[in-house]
Amino acid sequence: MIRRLIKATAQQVIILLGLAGIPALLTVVFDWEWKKPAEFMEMSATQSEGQMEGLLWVDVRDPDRFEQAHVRGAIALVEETPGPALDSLRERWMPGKRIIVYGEGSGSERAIRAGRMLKREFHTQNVLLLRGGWASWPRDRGVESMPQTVSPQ
Amino acid sequence: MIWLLIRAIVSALFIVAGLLKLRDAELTLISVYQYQLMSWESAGVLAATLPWIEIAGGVGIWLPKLRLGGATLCLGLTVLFIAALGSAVARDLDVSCGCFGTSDLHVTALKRLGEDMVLLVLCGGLWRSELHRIRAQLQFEAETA
Repeated sequence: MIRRLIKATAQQVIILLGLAGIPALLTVVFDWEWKKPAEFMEMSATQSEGQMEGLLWVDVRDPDRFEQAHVRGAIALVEETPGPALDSLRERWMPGKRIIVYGEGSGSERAIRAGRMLKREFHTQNVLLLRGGWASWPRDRGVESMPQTVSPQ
Repeated sequence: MIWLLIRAIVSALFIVAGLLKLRDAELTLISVYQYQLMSWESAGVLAATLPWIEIAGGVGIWLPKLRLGGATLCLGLTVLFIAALGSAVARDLDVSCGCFGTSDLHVTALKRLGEDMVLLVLCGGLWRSELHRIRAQLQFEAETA
């Protein structure tokens, strides 16, 4: 009886896995998303919409560019003196919050370096890059122009 | 009646979780990867497969001929989630679960672990009831054969 029960269970599970496997296989074959480089995922400005509360923005552009305009609530991180920005981030960060780093445009090396440092400092994988960087940010959405740079101590 | 209610709850949870994962594939991938249990490529395959298995399990428990299989899948997935979350908690990892898309980004792993334990009890009960049903069915078939 036990053998027949195991057989019946296995048959049903295999049928369901087979049914789930078809769309899954199509996703794996045709969706190239998962083949992206492992280091950083990117989030577009549109994707960030509606989940701003769960995001912490880090701006790694030059301080004067940051002062002109930046994403609302963003923290300016100056590569040479990251301490004050890190302190400010520590006050606002909690496990589960995602940190989004942006530079001037897409593939900003400064953003990637900052992202690496943030992953290290916060022991988290929840560090993403803003796809397209600041250049992709819609100017009519969540922009501040008041200086927010954290002064070096 | 109670089993119908439990089946509805379990089914809804798995189908909704699967659909939310499909809606934001990128977030699902990050969520899987941040458990640091596998390579990026493996996480990609799992992230693409997992939502469909969840949906198959959720739908399966309503199909008379696949109910036991559906309940087994749901139970197996819950055990898998608990093991992954437990290992993340043990390693003091920052994980946001990702079980229900972006809506649970602030839910701590420990709280999610507690919720998964409740789900485990529900799935376990459902699986047991389906097992009894199939056993009775097989016994009846053996007697009448």
